[in-house]
Amino acid sequence: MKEGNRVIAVIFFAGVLVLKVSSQEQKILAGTSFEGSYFSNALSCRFINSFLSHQFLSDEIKNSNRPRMNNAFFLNNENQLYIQSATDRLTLKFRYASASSFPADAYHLVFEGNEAYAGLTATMHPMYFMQQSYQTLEYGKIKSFSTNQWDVKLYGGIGLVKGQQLTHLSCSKGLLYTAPDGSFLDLDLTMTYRYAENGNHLLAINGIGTSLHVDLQAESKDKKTTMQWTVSDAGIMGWMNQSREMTIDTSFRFDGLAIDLFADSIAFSINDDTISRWIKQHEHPFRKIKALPAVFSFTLTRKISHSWDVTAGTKLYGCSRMSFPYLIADISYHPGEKHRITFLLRYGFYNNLNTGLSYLFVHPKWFIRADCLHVPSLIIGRRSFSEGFFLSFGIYL
Amino acid sequence: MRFSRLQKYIFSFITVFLLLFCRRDEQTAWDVKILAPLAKTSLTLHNLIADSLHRTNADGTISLVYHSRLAEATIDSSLALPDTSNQANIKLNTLTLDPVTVSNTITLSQLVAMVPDSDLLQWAIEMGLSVPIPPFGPIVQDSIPFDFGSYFQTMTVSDATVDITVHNHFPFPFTNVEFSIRNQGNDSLIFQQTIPVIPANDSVLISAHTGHKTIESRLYASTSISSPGTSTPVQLNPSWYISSTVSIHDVKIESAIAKFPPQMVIYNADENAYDLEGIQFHHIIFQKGKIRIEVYNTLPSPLHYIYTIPSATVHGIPFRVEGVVPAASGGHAYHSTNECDMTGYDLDLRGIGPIERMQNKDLNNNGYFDPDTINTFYNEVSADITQTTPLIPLSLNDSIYIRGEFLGMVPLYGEGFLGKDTLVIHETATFSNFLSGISVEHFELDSVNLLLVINNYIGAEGAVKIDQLTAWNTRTGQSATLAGYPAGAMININKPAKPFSPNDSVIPAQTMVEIKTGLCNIEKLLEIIPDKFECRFTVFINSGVAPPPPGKGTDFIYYGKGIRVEMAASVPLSFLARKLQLCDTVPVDVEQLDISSVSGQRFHVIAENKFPLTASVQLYIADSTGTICDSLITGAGKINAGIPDEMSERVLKPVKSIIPIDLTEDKIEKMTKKRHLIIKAVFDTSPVDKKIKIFDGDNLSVILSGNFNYRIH
Repeated sequence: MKEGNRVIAVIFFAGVLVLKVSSQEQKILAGTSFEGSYFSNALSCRFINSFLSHQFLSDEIKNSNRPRMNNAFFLNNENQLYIQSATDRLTLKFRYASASSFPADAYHLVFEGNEAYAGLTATMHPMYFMQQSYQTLEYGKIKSFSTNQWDVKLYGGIGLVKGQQLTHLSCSKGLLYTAPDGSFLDLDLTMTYRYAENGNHLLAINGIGTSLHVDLQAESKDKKTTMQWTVSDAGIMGWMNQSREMTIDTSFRFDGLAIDLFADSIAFSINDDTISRWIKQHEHPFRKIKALPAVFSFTLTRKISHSWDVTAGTKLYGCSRMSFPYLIADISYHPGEKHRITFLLRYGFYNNLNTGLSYLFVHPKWFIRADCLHVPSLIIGRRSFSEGFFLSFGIYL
Repeated sequence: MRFSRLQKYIFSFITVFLLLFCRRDEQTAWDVKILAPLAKTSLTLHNLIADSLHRTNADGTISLVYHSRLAEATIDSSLALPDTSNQANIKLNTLTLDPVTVSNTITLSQLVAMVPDSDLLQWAIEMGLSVPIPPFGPIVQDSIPFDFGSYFQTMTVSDATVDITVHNHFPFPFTNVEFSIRNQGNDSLIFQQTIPVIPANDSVLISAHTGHKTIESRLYASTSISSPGTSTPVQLNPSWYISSTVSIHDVKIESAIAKFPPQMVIYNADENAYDLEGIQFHHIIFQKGKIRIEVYNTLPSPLHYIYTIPSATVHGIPFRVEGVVPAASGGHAYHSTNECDMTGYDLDLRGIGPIERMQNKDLNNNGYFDPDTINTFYNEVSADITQTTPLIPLSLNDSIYIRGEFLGMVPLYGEGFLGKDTLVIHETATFSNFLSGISVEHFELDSVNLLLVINNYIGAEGAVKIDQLTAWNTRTGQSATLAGYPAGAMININKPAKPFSPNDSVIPAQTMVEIKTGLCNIEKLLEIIPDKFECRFTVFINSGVAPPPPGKGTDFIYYGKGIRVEMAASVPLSFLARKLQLCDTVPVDVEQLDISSVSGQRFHVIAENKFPLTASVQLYIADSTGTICDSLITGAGKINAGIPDEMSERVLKPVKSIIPIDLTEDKIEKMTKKRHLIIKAVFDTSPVDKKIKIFDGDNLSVILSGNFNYRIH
């Protein structure tokens, strides 16, 4: 078990024991959830899965993509451990978010090379890429109250955020011309690249921030209507330590490394060190406060019969650069207290329509829920451009 | 065993964490196809020829320039002075002795005792009676001793002066005093004189020369005295006496056994001449050399000698060496050797004349101040003995042997008349940095301008004849010899200006000899791309020049300086060439090159040529000994020539050529092991039958372009 995991386990279980001791007369719920979602209009699920699982991206895998003029993807992974009582909740969250938008030429250059651009100019702008991972230790209070028409449960939590890794790239101008015979490359590039990666592991502290989590659930007195507003990871992170920023605004022609045939010797020393040295010449420290990739969601559930519910809602990921939110439409069937099957309909994220299924099993002492947000991706595999899952487990202590 | 709910929860938590946060060590990787330039280089004239060897003309064309020493010779052998020695057996000039004096006294009683029957007179003396002294005499006193034993034992003199002083302390005069001195040994008469009268209480000095006599240390004097007495009584006083003092002085000794006082016994002045075979020096400064003085002393007395050369000075101080030679003993002479460094000495070789004039003294007693001469210097030797004890024998036949030797005398500077001399210079000059590494099958030059610069450092008039000038290409074995002017011509060379002082450097007189196309075949010498020149010159010194009067020559020479011939060439780069080959071996380090991520590579050399030359290029992989194991270029490897503009004859736009390079992993591995690359390029002018011009700015730029798969991690 890795060191970071060990530390997190110690911290969390300390919290568990505290809450258990302080809430001895109440039921304590301890749970964990794992959520991952991926959306793209160009990069297939097969491609992204291979990329993330450190596989070799063969031509077959690359051919599953469908790059177009404007391409984008969004990748989100959120895992939680929590424990809560009637009034308190302690949560440990692990979040990874990545988003990018790029032109087709940028994709081809990165994954296929510039050979096909002989005699042509590849356009690499506008291009944006963001990748963050961080951990949050959050404590919140749960307050229940009633109005004339609604029973409201309000949760508010404050989290201490530890930034693990940041990569941010924006290119406002990127043009690469390749001579037909490969005798020169003309590059016109305006780009900013920031990164914080002083040891990319769970214990790495590259930033410190704070976040706010508010969850408001209101159920009508007749139990027929339920509304839920959620704002999570609304906060800021100050990236520091070894955070670096590199700004490039250059236009040059590269026609090879100059060598002198008449020198005492010819040395070829092109390697990673050469590039690293160049990078070090252009980078400087970066310390900036940036917003966390907040998530906003709203759902409205209406019971239409004893066993059927319909839910409509929306979700917006702050870092996805999608101006149009993600629309949610679910239909749930729950023949009894123990089982609930939900048909999920999602629309958004690069105009993709996705369907999914969710199953919830409730035991008096525990529950488990599994969602597959994009069932078609399980069937069509390589031709799917979005996928997602949600897995949750809870136990009453 | 049943687990509690909490235990089950913890177990689940751990499992999930392990699953989620254990990472794989592999990296995501994919292949991309790259088309990009990798390396570039440029070939200009500056790479082939050092900047000092070419210049840009006003019209932009290039000329090769070369300036180098061709031949050099000196006449230092003429300047060298032969080792010279001179020796002399020098007899003693003079021997003297200090004046010697001996005295004798006769009292009244002693005098009366010589008179017969003088008892009464003696009683009267004892009684102090006053009596008249009757006339008496002659009283003869014989064997009055005079002992000069503490001064000499015996001596043979050519002359000596003897002084006899008689003091009369009697109250009456003596008359007819006869005085003679003889050797006690052989009774030979040394001296005889008669004093007519010695007044009472008075003294008389008589002096005479001995002439040539042998005098012994023990002498005796005989005297005969008479007296008229006194007419009146006088009180007889036994203290009355007469004394005689004999003094010998101004002794001119021929030989003696004596105690000699300190005196100079030898003085010798001489002139020494060098035989320099026609060269007449009147002035020399030595850069090195020494003089060795050997003195052999046969005298039984230590000898102090002084050897001077008034005409050799350093900082105005004449050369002087002195020493002491111990006395000879047991019949064997004692000798000493003294060596002195002559470095820096300025030697006047005009003989004794300048010394006489400087000292205003006729040193050789010939009645006049000698005129100046050449190659001759004047020196002096003197020797003296210290006071000798015990008595030693010396004679004017005694002598000392002195030898002076001049060794390794090398002049730094000489002045006079250098004589008529002929010097043959035969030399081979190698040019290793001029177009080295180039070979050519056929090469034609448009024109050549070559200048021979003759630098004359010798301070004399002269002439130079170019007997032979041959160019060699030792790689191909080709040679070409100069025909036409100035081969065989006699070229007069000027005399350089004499420096203000011998310590100043001489500025050579330069004579330029132009060798150009049209008058001779000079272009043929350079068309073979020579790396060696063989030349033979004859230098004539003072040919047709009459020798000046002695001491009036104005020629001069510095050691190490002679005639230096340089070559200055200017060759416009307008030429026709076939198979002009450049070859260079370069160490290559490719160990740092990371090719593990590269596959399917194809490389090209893209050449842009502004030279009006086609080129066939090949790259060979070789080891340090030049052993080739592989090549990198498949096919002809041809680079097309730039096309000169008809008006300006200049290539205005480069011509592009593409040559495929076969750079497989196997070949890169060979390069890593062998570590050397041989670059061979063969050029032909284009068009093939026309001379082309090379301009400043012409170049051949080469880019290595790669088209390969690269694996990104």
